Amino acid sequence: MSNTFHLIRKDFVLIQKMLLLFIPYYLIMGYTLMDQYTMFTLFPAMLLLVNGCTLDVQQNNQRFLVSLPLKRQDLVKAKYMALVPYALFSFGCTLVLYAAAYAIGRVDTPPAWREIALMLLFFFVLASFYLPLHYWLGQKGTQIVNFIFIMLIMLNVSAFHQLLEWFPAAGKWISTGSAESFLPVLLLTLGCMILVYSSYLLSSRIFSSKDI
Amino acid sequence: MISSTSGEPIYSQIVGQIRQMILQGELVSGTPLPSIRQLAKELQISVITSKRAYEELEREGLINSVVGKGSFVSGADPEFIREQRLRVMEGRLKEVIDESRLLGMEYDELAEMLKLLYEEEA
Amino acid sequence: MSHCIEMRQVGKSYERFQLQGVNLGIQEGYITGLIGPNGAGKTTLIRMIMGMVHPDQGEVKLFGEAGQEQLSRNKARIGYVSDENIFYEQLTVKQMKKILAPFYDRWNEDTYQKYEERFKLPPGKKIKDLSKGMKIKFSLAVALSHGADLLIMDEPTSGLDPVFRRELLDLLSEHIQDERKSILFSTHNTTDLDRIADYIVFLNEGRIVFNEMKEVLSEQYLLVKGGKELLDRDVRRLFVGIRENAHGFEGLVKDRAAAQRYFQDNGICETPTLEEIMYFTVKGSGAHV
Repeated sequence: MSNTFHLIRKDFVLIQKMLLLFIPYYLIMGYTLMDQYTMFTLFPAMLLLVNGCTLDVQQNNQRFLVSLPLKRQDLVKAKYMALVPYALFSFGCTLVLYAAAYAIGRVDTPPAWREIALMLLFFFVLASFYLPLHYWLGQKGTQIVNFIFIMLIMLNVSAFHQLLEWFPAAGKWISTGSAESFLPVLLLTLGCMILVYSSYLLSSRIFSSKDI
Repeated sequence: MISSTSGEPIYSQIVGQIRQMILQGELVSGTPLPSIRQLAKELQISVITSKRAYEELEREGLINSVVGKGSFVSGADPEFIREQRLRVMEGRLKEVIDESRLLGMEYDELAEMLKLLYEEEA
Repeated sequence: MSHCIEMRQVGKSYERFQLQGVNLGIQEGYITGLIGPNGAGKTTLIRMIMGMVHPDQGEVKLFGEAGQEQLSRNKARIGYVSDENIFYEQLTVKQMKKILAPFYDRWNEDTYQKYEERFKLPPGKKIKDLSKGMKIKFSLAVALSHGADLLIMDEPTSGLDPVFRRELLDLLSEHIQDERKSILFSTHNTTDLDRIADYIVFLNEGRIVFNEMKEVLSEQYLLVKGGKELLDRDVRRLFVGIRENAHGFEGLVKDRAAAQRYFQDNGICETPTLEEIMYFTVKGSGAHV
């Protein structure tokens, strides 16, 4: 457990510089598109994830990680566990954005908690696809994968709405928060957890058999 | 002083030098010697080389090794050691004599040869 | 005597290169040098020991244990110095140290500080701004600070100035003052090993040519120099490898006693250096040097 913590801490040490550049950019982007602030919940988390992964493969750093007294699964596990602080950070960013929007009167509705929650769920779904690809393609493929994912995030507004069309219950839940549509959302969450876990098993399998 | 470029193997250079020091009384009986690994480190040579040198010195009765305590210059007195070495020398000379007989050399010839070589070395 | 590293029938195939049937035991308590020309497979071999590269066949044991679980645990007992920088370049020396230290139970901060001072490592400098020698010193300081029983170093002396090379040899001797500690280091510069190595593993074209005590090598091999008239077809067969020029030849023989009898009167017989053994063996096998 402490190893997982230290690995996650390492990721944050590595990305901290990027975070400083990222915050002003995020605020400007947020300001211009403030009406859709919930959409930005996905953005910081995804950026952290992509960066945290890319920095590991940039030079020969995976060799460093493998030289540590850790199992390969431990390394993969830490990457999945890191999704939680990434999501929390993202959540924090959204709240800040909302507070700012509310203060200057751009938004007068209460925070759209349910939409934000689904957005975070969507982050875990995307991460479940991203991480196995990251471990599979390694250094050479990472740039391509990153490009595709950044595009996806850019398009996430439409992707998200598409998703809501596939799961009408979720859309209903967002707008009404009604109890009868809650069950499907719960199932959706459960499905997402299963997805993340299978993705972890897959990544761990890919990475364990890989030559570094 | 150890030279890795001279033809003589390193371990036998070490043996030679320590033997010399013992025979000349620079190292007296009971003096502790550096451990095998310390010696290797000091001379920047391999552990096995230094081990081999100690083994050789032990065989000659010049040093004693006590497990866990290290190696010490043995109690044998220089006279005895000299005796030992003289016996080794005798053995080698006998070999030379045998060889000279095979070649049909007379004693005078052999003595002359020895004399020449001795002067050459000096 | 026990082995800290054991490889049994290990093989690995790449498109243009393969390691084959590698059987190897690295003795505990000694310095073993891994030599071979560039491309012989030294780095691949070391990466297999470190669990970075998985062998296609065979088994690798560390401290008598095989298996992923044991391997990862046993890595805490290994100090690894890579031939390339594996640390995060954008971090400072101090940041990097802070990242890796918590993973080692036996990490000793005082020891690290001692080496930081001794090697004059600048804690605030970024790894990417360190010279090659400094990078190696840093990874050596790390390796020595977590109480490693086995140092595995891939080409540690390339890119080092002669002064530090000497110092490195001292450090290695210091490390094995404790007879439970061992060192494996690869190099293509054999002069480093001529002095302090106890065992030599010679790898050529993915195969082990020999794994011998260095002391024994100098009693096994003989370097012969002489005029060309000495060479006929039968005599040639004695040689592992021969180099000829207009004036004569120079060649390596493995059966020292026999060759000495044969050449003692009409040739020059010398004890070969490791480099010469390596050169002629590679030459004899028909590969490039």
